[in-house]
Amino acid sequence: MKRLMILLSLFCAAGLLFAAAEPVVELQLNHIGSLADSGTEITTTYGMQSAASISLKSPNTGNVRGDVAFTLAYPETPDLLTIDRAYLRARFPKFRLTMGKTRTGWGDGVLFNAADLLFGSTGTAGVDLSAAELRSDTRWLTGVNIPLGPFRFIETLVIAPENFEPKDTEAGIRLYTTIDSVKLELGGAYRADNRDDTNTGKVFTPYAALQGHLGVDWYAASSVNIAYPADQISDELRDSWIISAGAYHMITVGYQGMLTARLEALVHPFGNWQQSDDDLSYGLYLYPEVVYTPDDTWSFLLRSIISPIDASAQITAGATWQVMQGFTLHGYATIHAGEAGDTFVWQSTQSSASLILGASWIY
Amino acid sequence: MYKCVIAMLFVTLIVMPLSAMTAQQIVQAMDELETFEQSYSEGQIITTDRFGEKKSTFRAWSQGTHDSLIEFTSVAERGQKILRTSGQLYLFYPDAEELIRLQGAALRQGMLGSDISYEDMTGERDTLSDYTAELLDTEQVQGKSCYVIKLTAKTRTVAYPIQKLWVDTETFMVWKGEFSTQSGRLLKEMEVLQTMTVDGRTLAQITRISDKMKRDSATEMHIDLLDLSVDLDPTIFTLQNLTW
Repeated sequence: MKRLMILLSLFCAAGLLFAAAEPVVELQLNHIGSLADSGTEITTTYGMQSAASISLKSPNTGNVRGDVAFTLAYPETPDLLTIDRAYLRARFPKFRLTMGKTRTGWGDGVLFNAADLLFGSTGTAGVDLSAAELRSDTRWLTGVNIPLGPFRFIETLVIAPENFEPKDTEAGIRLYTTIDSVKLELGGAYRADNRDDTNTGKVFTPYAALQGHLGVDWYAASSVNIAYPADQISDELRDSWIISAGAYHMITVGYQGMLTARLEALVHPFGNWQQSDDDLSYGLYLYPEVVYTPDDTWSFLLRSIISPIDASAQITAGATWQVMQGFTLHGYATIHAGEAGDTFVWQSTQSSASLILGASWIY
Repeated sequence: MYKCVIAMLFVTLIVMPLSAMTAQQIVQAMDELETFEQSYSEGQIITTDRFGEKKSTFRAWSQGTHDSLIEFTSVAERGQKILRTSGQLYLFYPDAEELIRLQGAALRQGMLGSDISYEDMTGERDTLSDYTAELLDTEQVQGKSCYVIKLTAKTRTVAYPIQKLWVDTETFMVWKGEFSTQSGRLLKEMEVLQTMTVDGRTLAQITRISDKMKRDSATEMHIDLLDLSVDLDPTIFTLQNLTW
């Protein structure tokens, strides 16, 4: 009943918003089959999954803009309704204010990004390699962006605690600039150290990120935690130091095809560099990606998260076909390759392999 | 002897319009025609194949030979922006709040899978840096006298090793183009369906590109509005405006 009331309220509110903004709907319908090999038995599952994402953007005029976007999902994964974005943005003569639920991209990296301090781009568990955006979490924040030149700005962010505990407030600041042909970001965040294994409470995390071109486009970032309160500083420094780096290149294949290749690495210099059954915080993870687009309608991709130290991987191959305006058919196959105790394992009660066949329509 | 001199003068006069300009000068004039100090335009890219029609609409601003900004206004890509400045390209995806900076080969890629590259959307055109030009002939296209220019690629980084262009002898607008492989296999054909006159320049308003490798496939580029006398705010070509 409560859920029904929420939905009715939502549709009433959406009705009012539709009158002011032109809605964009993305409907996703997928057949999902999966196979789990526990070692003693093989189980299979099959079902349909659907999600309707509705975005209500304000017109692209004036000095105030906003977007409200939500997703209705079946089955509930984990909620029937998710607010993806709900923010407004106001442009003042000397700065820009953003308030609401959204995200901001610090540093560079599709999967691994050591500079993404407040949204997190270092984990390998639960990553959906068939998603268009591998990192898309949003949070309730207030941000001020102060331009210092055409390609230079300072950004400050305050992230309100979802539990309404003032001590759990997080905040960050960054400088974005270019030096010759290299982009440089310097910044830091006061945040919760939410890594399960080394929870010391609050930390201040400075970071530096670079991006440039040397034959191929490249990017790198590094961050390290300074514990707050100031105990266990050396342990925290050693355990939290991470480096991410990536390279990206695109080449024309044939007369209109395009091949893009990306390789990202996440390095924990003081992580575990030996294979282990009980300490999976390994020193190195890789993310290779190859996308071949033979024309303006077809696209083929191969993505993987590789843990080279224990020689395990999650591998996804997929194809998309944009058949008609906004209408795309897609298929993805994912397997986990690895032995028991590895980062990625074939023998699992959850999913060893899965197949997604579906369609999406944006209108 | 007298007859011979008269005949030679006659031949010279006939051939003069063809040889008055070199192929290089014609190509430079062709590039200059599409180079604007400042511009604002609105348009659409319509792709038709056997499954129907796909349409992307956009707004574009350009300044000088380096700066351009394109904002897509069609439903699927709404709010996506591309800012190009000297030697670098910024892409902004509003839903993901993602700002991507690219350099190098990315600048030469087509927008939305079309034949229009990011470089094409700016004033930074220098055909002769990628191609050698040869004047073949003059021919009539749509009732207009045109130079027939053959462009042969100097590098392997261009999409089409051979281009044959029909360039208007008066306006230097390209009425027709054939794009081929090194071996001469025709890949694409371009023709101007409708022209417009803006600030004394004759420019293409509707251009049709036929893909000879696909049956029933064609792309039309429509320029619905082109303002060359616009006074652009220089902050248009900044990250602040890109991410706005």
